[in-house]
Amino acid sequence: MLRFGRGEAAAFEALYRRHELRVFRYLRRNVRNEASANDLMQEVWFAVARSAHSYQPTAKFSTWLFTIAHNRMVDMIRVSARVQGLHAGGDTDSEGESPLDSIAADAKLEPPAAVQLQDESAALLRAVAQLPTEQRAAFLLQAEGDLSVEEIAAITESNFETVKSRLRYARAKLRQLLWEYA
Amino acid sequence: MTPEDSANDRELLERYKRASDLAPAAPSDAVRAAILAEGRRVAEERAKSVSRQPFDVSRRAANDSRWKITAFGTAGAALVAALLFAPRLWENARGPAQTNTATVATSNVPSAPPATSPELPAPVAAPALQAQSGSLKPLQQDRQASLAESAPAENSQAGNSQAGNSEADKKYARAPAAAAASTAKSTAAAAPPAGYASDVSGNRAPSARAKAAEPSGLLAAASSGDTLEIVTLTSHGAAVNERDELGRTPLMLAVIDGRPDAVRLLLDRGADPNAADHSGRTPLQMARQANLREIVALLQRSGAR
Repeated sequence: MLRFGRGEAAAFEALYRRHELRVFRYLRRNVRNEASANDLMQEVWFAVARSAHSYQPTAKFSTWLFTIAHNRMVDMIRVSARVQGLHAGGDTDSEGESPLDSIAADAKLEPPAAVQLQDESAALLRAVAQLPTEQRAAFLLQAEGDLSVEEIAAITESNFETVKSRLRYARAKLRQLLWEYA
Repeated sequence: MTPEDSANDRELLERYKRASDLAPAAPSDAVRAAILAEGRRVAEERAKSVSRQPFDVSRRAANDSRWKITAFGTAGAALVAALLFAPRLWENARGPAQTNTATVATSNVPSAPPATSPELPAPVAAPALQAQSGSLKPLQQDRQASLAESAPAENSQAGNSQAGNSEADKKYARAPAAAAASTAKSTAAAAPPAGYASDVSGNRAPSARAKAAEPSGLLAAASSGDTLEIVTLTSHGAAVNERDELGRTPLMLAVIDGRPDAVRLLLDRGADPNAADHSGRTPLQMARQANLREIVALLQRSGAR
């Protein structure tokens, strides 16, 4: 990031390649809308690029990056007229295609183990999608961002114990949903 | 992940990551291209702004941590230097302040020729008598200063009115021991004499002037065997037979400290080999007591008794 701040374009591209999927998955799992996730992704990385000159390495870059992503995502949820739809719309995006459907569409993999794995993965992602917003954000920050409880608390501006509780509840609920699936 | 996370929690996370990898979640190519294009644009702007940035002398000091090393290094060096020189300055400050006053005052005499005559009067004359003429030449004033220094301190303490009768007396008369310390301090703090620099030439002027302002003077130079300083001071009018509070001349101090070169030089410059201190001892007696054969021979060749 510091090299990019000095004008090295290659440094920015390397940075983007390294964090691209993690950030996008975090956004995508939270907003559950492909177009919104793409919009957010662009906003987040534009913000990263434009604030490079003022970036201070006081924390991990990923923490700073996911802080931007989380704040943009929360802003979008707050201002969007479709907030309710995002929460209640399930996994179907604007194009009518769900990522879970994509997993199921890959059924050309050899059965039955692959099919079982895909079913299980789809069930898990569906369970994540059913988590409350705060619990889902905390779980995804931990799972996609590899962030600690302290870092998640800082990003979400929440208490440390609160984040621990959210994570605990999220995992319990996921296990329950998976058990119901099994 | 917190330490108290159980193995089940870690397994759940692993299962999620596997599921997430299977799900095709990636930004569109258009978004990726836009992001990378924005990154390149910002990078070019940053590169231009960095190259255009004018050199700011304050920027380096503000942003470079090396300035701290430089600052602390300088301060440390100054502290070490102060610790090294403080004892020496302290010793000088406690030295013969009375004679220093006279020595520095002697250096104030402009364009004084070197004292060439070895025949200086014995240190018994009253200074006021010789200062009455009013038309003293610099050399005479120099000798007057020597004589004033040789006057007993009791005379000043007893309120001898003659000591203050003339300007020369005021300038060169020996002050009581208690008052001499403050005089030496004020003399040391004063600026060097203006006329002194014109008397000397070349690079030695500042050095000589600085040395003249020091409280040690010719007595200290003789004691330390600093022949260069002796030459400098005597060449600019320093009294070669000046006295300290015990009535000792530079020659005596050179003898006491075993400085044969200084003894030879002072004798060449007209030091009185038969002058006696307040206890009546002569340089030859001192040299014999200390068994300084070379110095004894030098004094004897100069007519010392």
